[in-house]
Amino acid sequence: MLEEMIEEHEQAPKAKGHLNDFIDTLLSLKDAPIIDKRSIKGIVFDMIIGASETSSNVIEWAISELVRHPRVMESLQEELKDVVGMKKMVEDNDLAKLRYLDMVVKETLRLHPVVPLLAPHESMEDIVIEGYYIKKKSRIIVNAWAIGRDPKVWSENAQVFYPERFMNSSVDFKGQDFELIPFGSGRRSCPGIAMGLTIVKLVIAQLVHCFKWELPYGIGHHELDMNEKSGLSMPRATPLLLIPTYRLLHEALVN
Amino acid sequence: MLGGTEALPHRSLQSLSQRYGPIMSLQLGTVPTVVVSSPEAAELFLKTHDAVFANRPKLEAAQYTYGPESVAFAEYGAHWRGVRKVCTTHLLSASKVEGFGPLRKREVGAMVERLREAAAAREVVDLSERVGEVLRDMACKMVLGRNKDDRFDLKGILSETMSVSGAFNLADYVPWFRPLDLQVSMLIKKKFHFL
Repeated sequence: MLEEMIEEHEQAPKAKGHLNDFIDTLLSLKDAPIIDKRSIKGIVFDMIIGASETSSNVIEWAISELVRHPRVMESLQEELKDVVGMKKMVEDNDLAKLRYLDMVVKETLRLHPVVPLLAPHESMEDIVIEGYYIKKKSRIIVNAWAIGRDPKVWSENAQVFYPERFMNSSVDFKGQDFELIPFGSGRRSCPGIAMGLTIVKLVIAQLVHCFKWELPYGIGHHELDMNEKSGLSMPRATPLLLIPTYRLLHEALVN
Repeated sequence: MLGGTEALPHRSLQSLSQRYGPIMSLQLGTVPTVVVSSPEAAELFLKTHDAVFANRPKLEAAQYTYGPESVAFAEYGAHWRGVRKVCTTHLLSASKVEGFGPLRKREVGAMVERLREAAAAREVVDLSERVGEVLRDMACKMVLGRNKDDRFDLKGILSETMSVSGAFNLADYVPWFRPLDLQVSMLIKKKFHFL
């Protein structure tokens, strides 16, 4: 299938103002010796997997936590009301101003890192670390999930969803602060953080700004199932079922 | 000892590390494995000595897909460095993020519209499904330029790819799931002939 799609991209003339997708971009680099058809397929495959499931899992965990914590939901809606206003939907350029949303996203990634054991590393030579002899070709598994929930690192309330813990803290998830490494760190860290975060923040902000969310069937917010199942990423074990109520003023419809 | 196949690996490993410490060395099947569970230890492996640990293990599932030629699971070396650089400078750069702004606006706006209809009808919505669908659509449009194709069942192929790539986590990331490998490899071989 990818083969055919790539060929089509090669042949089809591009209309003016055509938005370059990744295949277009990669084909335009084809003179670079590294990019042949097989690499293009590999990159395309990674990008689709990397861009969709991981981001949607972060969003569903964030909304789950917000529904379970009405106080946090309210604070986020207040921020959106102040920054964006009730007459319009959230836009890309609002995102940089949403400080509380940043904290909500950090706190979500702390408790629900999308790839809980990161991607495994492998040693390329024998090495001794902290007295451990580690043989070449050993597999290294980093338990980012356990680090994010360690009370020695995050204090006694480590299990609690509390975005304000990031209020006066410089801790970020870009790979410099090892207590929060949902995207890994170093040369193998996730290269798509900027793209992913923009999408994740926009969707969370939009869902929270446009709708009020309630649990169906008389389920109390403390009763929402928060179990995860295992996968390449870590989705909810059960689908998140909610009843939306639109909350923007009428003018926002004309968008 | 590890609680059988139903236990989630990150949880089993957390309880082990609470007993045996932030750097644990385990022999899992034939694979010597080190499990790292504290910020200090993570820094040692991912920063201080990151050049030593920059490789990926050869995952069996990846052999049936594009693992060796891709970015995420490619062997460390010049080819990987080149491909990764292409991704960061040409596909995932700030200007690309900005360039896809109109696409995000359109797709997220359409999702809101559909949710508004559900809201008006007081429906219970499966938000996991709704969000998953929008994110898959956006990923397809960004990467392939389209999210529908008359010749291929793009949606079906993608959701199978997702569920299979989920399965290879269990078998391959954490070697004590080895007994499942044969089964998973067969499954992947079958599913990935599309791509």
